[in-house]
Amino acid sequence: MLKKRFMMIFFVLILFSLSACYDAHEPADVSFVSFIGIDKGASDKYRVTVKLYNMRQNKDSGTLGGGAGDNNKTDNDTITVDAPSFYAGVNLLNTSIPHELNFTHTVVIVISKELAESGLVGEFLAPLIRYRELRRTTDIIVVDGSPQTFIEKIGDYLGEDAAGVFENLLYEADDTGFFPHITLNDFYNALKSTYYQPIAAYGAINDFNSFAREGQKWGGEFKIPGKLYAGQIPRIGGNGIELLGSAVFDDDRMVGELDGHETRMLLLLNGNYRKGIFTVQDPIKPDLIIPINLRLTEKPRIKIYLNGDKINIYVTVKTEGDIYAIQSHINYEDPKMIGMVEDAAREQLVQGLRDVVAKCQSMNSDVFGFGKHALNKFATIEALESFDWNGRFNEADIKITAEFKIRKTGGIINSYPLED
Amino acid sequence: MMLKEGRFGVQETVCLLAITISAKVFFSSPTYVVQIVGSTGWLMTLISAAVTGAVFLSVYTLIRLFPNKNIMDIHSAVCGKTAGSLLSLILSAGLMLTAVINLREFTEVMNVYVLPSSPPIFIIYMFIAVLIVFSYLGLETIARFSKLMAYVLLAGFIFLIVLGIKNYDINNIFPFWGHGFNRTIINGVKRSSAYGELMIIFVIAKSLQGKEHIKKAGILSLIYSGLIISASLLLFSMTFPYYVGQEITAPIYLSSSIIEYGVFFQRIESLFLIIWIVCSLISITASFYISLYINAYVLKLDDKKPLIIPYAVILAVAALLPGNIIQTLNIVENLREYGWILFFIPPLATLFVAKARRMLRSDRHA
Repeated sequence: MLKKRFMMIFFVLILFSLSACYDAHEPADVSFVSFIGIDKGASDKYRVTVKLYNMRQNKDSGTLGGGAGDNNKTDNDTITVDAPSFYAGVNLLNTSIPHELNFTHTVVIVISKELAESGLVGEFLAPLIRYRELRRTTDIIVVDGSPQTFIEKIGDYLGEDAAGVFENLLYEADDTGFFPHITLNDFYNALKSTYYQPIAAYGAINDFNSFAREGQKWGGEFKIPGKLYAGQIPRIGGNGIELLGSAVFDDDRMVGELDGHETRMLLLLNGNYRKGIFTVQDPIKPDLIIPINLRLTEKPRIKIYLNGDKINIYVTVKTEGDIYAIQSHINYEDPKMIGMVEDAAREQLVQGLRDVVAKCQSMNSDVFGFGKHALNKFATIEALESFDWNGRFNEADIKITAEFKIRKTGGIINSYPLED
Repeated sequence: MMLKEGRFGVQETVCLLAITISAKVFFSSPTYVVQIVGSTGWLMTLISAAVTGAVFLSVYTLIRLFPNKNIMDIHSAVCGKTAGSLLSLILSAGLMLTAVINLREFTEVMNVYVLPSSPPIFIIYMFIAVLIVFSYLGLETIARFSKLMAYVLLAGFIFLIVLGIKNYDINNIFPFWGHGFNRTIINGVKRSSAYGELMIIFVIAKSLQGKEHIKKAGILSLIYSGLIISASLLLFSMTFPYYVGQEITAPIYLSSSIIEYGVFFQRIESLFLIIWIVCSLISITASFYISLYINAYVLKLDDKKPLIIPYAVILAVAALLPGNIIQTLNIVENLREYGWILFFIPPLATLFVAKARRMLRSDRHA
């Protein structure tokens, strides 16, 4: 009887510990940080910006911040501080923020282009990767301009709160292929690697100045969509921020940028491309276009041959697509004609792939991950590291071939020409 | 009155030993494995398992020579009471050290990732409380609980493996020989004490249903634990390249934390935590209990229950001795490299003496 009583008291006491005691945090006691911005500071080494998740303005609360025009309102939940390090900055922020900052729900780390080009990214990321709250699935982007302004610009849009907007925007990388989806884990793995280099998505604020309200209308010149950088898309209205292109790094220093189209080619080469509209010039009427929904058929086949110090890389990219439109109304669906579109698409693809490889070789940055495919050429880690793949990438001989097949033609299987 | 434990079958024994041996893969061991051998950790551990298998089969001959006896009886029968007791106590010390350091490692990793504000003593005391309850309930309960949980844990483990497919890159297992063929083989042999808990089967020999069951349970436990540890190391190597893998505090935990399928399906590490905590509980309790059992057996005590709480206090205090996580992990590494002295040398020494004495007897008879 005494034993049973003792056990009962014992188990009741144990129950109190189930609430975690020291580590119990009520959601109202912490402030969740949705975005982190890092820039070079003026009063101190770094400028750290945090945007706090505003619980009153989430989509479930019913007090949303309207549409496109409302995300400029003064946010006292975006705070910036100059500090010698990330942790010092967080501590300094807590002298004015009444709740402990919590980074378990941080969506993205925004790095300024200036900081990225100065080579301080590795230094700043070291504490972040060690921090238990910051998950390795947090995204990383580089922005043109100030991360503080960029983060302030992120607001509610289309019924979604700021964090949700950006989180879903990052997934658009899979739908467009115009920017990569790079997490802290991806970036850090590439940063530390001796056989490939990191990239990050490129973002900017679009001030709508690229949109020409008046002036001469466009002629018939063919232009590849996406050959722009973030912030340059000629549009008016919509979300104030955009992601387009990527930042190329050599170790922890940003050495260049790729525009949207080049980024798409990069994603095709590293096998991370999902889908996107690829615009092909009409082979018979070059002032018209054929948009195609482009997909990878399989991961690119990459063969590496090492001839002493010489690197030879052979890449075959197999793609397929669906015709979305034939502006010329020429019957390209005909089996005798379809090959013309396939050839035109393939040539355009090959040219784009070669151009982006040449550009990255000029920066001596293997952002394609070709080095990963060379790992099995080395017996030991010591042999791999003494080869210095990253140092030799600019001398590599890279040959690219592409294949393209049309799979579907949409709701029309037989185009009838327009009467002249 | 001799100490008696309950009886259980091959399945319970296999589950108990496989969980006890495999639990260490959830801590920081994979990190050190990658530091030492690079990307060939999965191969190195199979070599360790093979060496342990050879030791097991060698020591099994003692069980065949002395049926219905456990290893403590055999030590005393072959080497004499004093030397035999000493050999048994060395094995007990090895198991107790394993329990101590595993408990501290568990506490440290929990502190880093899950309960950063909790003092280590809080986590240790919570753990010890459950360990004491289990110890009171006895070995049969521990074994049957292991069997009950084994299926759940295995299902959870496989679920995590499947979910992590998106993050695997087969290229990360190259260069194939990591830091070198020699280093892989030598460390595979040196670190065979990673499977040292297999010797527990010789301690609980009387609870099993005969020597054939002992052999079957031992071999199956080794195979299953070898596969689980090797699979974990292989998948960890495929998730993180070697230069990142050698930095991580809790590799398998981190592998589960980067699993993400869209906005909704993420933060799976909470599932991993359940697997990890239950495995650790069974592993540390088993090591602790068997150590206690050996001591009580050697000291010819009628009842070991009065020893449980004092030993648990010793376990808690010893677990608090390392000053920080680095000291803890250094002890872990030393135990991996030199633990075979505690686990394998006593039964092998007894085997050697037994063989020598039998040879002398056969010479006399000739």
